[in-house]
Amino acid sequence: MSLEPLKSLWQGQQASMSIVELINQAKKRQRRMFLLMLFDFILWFGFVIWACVFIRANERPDSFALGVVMIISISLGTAYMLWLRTTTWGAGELDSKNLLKLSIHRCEGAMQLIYVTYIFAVVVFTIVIGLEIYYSIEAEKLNRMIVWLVAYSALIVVVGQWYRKRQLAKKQYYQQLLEQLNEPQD
Amino acid sequence: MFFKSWRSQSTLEQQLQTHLPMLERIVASYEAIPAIQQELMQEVVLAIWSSFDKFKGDSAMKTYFARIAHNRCISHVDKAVKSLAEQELSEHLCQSSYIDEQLNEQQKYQQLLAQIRQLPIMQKQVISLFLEGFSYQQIADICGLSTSNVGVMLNRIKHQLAQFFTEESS
Repeated sequence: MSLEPLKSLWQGQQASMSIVELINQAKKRQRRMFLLMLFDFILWFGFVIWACVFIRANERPDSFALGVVMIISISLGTAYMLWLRTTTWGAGELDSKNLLKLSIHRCEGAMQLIYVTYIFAVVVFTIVIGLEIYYSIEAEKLNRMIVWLVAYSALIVVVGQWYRKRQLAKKQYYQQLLEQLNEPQD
Repeated sequence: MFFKSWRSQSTLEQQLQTHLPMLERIVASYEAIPAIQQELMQEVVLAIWSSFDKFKGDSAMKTYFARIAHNRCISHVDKAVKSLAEQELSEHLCQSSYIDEQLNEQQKYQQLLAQIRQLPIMQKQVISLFLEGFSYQQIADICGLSTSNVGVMLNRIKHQLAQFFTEESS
């Protein structure tokens, strides 16, 4: 059987979508992506301002140290997020195998992000509590802070586990595709 | 980097207009559901737009677009939805083939698509690119295969499709 009739059947099919509409939708998506990044920056900026206000408003011996820890943590977190985003961005010209490898790398990056977030939460928790104990603040305030930090850490773990599961499923799917591509093409 | 200017879009728009039928056919060879096809097309267009500046003319524009479209389709992961709908579609097509003795072009095309969607990913890429009119060398470049592998694979697919179309016509 010749594939030529199928070729003409295939090539005879014309486009049914409007390119203008597609471009507009793509623009909209890109704008959304930009806004999300802007949101990241605003969040970072907001936290820094809040930390500065916190230092100024609470003239306690621990407030400066806490404020600095907050600024450093948020800045490191934002820098890590940006690094992760930029290193896993763009794949226009890769061939299929390399694209799948990149996709697997992205999933691994996302899972790594979760582990880093967990470590981050533990480190922040330890530093904040350590500082509070070092500057011997009142027990009531310390307890309240512990409750907040535990709630925040629990939220991170719940969201993190949900996200990790998603990324793991994606990674397994990509690996399966990669295995298909790596099967010997005799 | 993330946010691009859309000012110099006329060239790209023209190129996209020219190759839109090909992009649609490639997307359709991966995805059966029209709504998801539309979504996938948006992703393809966005990916083309994002990487268009990097295009140095090393290959033909058509090859470049086809490569991006295949890449986007591979990373499309609505697998569960797809396979379910695929089954439904195949059943529907089989029923309709019993009803209509003379299949028109559109039905034949849909059947061809359904057959292609069932192929393993590499075969799917090879046959859709071949049907688009790409040479063995171009297919090999896009898929990361050797030209001899492309030939062997096409031969194998040809037998599978021949079997299908013979069964259909008998």
